Amino acid sequence: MVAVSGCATGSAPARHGGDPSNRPPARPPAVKVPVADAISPQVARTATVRWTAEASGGVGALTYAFWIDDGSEFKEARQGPSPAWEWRPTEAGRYRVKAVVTDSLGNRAESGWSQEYEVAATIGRRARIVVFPMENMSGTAAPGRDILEGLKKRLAAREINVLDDKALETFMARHRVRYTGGLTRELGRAFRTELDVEAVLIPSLDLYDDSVPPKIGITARLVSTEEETAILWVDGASLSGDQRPGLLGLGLVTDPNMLAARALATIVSSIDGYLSGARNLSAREESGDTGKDAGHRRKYLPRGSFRKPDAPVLRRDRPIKVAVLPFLDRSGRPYAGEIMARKFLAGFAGRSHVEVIEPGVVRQALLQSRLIMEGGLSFPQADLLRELLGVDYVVSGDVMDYEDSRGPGGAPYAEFSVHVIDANRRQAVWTSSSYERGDGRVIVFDWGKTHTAGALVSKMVRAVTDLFLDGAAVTGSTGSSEGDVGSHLP
Amino acid sequence: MALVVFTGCASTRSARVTYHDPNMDFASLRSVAVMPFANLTQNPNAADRVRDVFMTMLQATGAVYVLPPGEVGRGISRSSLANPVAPTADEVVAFSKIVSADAVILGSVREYGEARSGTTSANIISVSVRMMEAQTGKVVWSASSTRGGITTVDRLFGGGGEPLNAVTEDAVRDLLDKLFGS
Repeated sequence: MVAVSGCATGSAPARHGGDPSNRPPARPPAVKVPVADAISPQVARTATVRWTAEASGGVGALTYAFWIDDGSEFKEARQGPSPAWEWRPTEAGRYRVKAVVTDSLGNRAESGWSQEYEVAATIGRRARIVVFPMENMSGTAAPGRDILEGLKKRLAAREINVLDDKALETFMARHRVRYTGGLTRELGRAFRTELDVEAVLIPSLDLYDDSVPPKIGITARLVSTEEETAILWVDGASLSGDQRPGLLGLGLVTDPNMLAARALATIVSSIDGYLSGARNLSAREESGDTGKDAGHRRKYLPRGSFRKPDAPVLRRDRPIKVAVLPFLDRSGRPYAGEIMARKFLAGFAGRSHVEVIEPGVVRQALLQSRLIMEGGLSFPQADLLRELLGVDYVVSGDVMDYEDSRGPGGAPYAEFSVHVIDANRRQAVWTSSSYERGDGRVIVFDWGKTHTAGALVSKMVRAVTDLFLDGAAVTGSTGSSEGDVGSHLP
Repeated sequence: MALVVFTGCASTRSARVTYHDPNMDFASLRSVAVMPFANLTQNPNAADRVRDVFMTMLQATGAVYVLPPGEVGRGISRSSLANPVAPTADEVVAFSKIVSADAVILGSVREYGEARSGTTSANIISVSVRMMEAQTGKVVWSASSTRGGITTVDRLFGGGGEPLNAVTEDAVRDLLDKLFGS
């Protein structure tokens, strides 16, 4: 038996049935080292790498199993009849892949490990990015342009490669871009091919109050222009001028421009941290409020919740895809539904095994399908989203209240409910209801107070997403585990 | 003696406002649809809020599967219900077939908000709910609950009573106790 470099052979060949004189002797199965269709390195969450294993010999149909080694452990990532495996790396690192084939008689062959495949954590500081115009969701007249200019100046000061305004304006006019709250796949492709842009920064102004004390809320996300339009980074800053008054009120901020500068500094520092590889995908939103994160999650738990016992189901072979729809706004506060959706996007982003679909892509799918949601998402609509976007779970809900206080004193208030539908099994797998006041956890002298609705909702959303994902089942590549819709009888 | 009399009155009052169809096998219910509630109050959002809390708390019991509101909306649209808050028996049957529900829950919010008496105020809520079975459209359960309001302690010593959310949850909890109780 001859060993071929890069191949591994299996056990003794099996005998065929029928007339042995007419059949060639069966060869043992053999498989070559898997080959990737994209060169290394690739950036985590942006690329889909297709590994292909070439096998020969064996009896009957072959089953292919792909194993992956991330440097600390190796595990089976996928098994099935296909010789190809589409891998979406979500974590940075150096990986190796090998293939194992098994024929119908149980003869097995294993390839060697591939060369190391590097997955980078970030697109890097040299990547060219575009900054979209600021989306004003504050519901008031706000100096969006000035704030945007401040953001660009700070990015330039950090030597982050931002496309100039003129080129962007020309591009947007050429492509008739009117909606700047999200990125579609087509637009991302155009940015990449025409302007060599690797990511788009999408900022939004959630809160602007220039009365005393001033308040500001800015969120932003960085979206890759690669085919998957992956969300690379998301963060925000919700600040109030009186959140850290300090001794004798010396820390009180009364100038809205100063507060805006602080918010922008926080966001730019976070982006820089991501691009430098020093920071995670989804940093905690900077609120400036006191308290530790773990403590906050316990405190801001929903008042009532239901999770189907075997949900959600996370997969080993790929991250689950989650689409967050704009919430139904019953609060009367403009854009409350969109803001809630962004908060949940930030809540899910960066979680292992979870990939949030870019809102621009979701929006485009909804518009193209003429989806009208009467009171929420229905199962046929979830089916459609699954067909169009490959969604596993759809998050939606209602915003009952989203209220910032004006002037000194007072506290924000937020109330919302959340529904999560499993698009594969056509079931509601999560329902919860949350409400909190910003001063509901005050211990003494405003210690523990949350000063803005944005910061308050971020904490509540984080508690909901943690609770939802805690104890999630992890399954192999064959898909979700069995579940019974009617498993709720006492 | 007074306590015994008042306690007796309370349980009698509770029994009077609750109806269970003796022929209905409630254990056979697997999924229910909660229709939009009727709003008989001055607060335009009262019905939505109470319905939302009711759906979440009912689902959280784990006893039945509650259809998501979008599915209910789809069913209302497909069955062309003229008045979703008060459908007829035939409409309930048709609706239930579309969304595959075993029963439909309807509700009315009669009071929601602040009640005042002199210088004292407190939050009050009053809700009535009924369940109609999917195959026949018959009412198989109904109950009502009133919570909050101005207590004697409030009148004597002041105080704003419980927050509206807490009062709402209390009322819904009372309704669910009446649903799952004997």
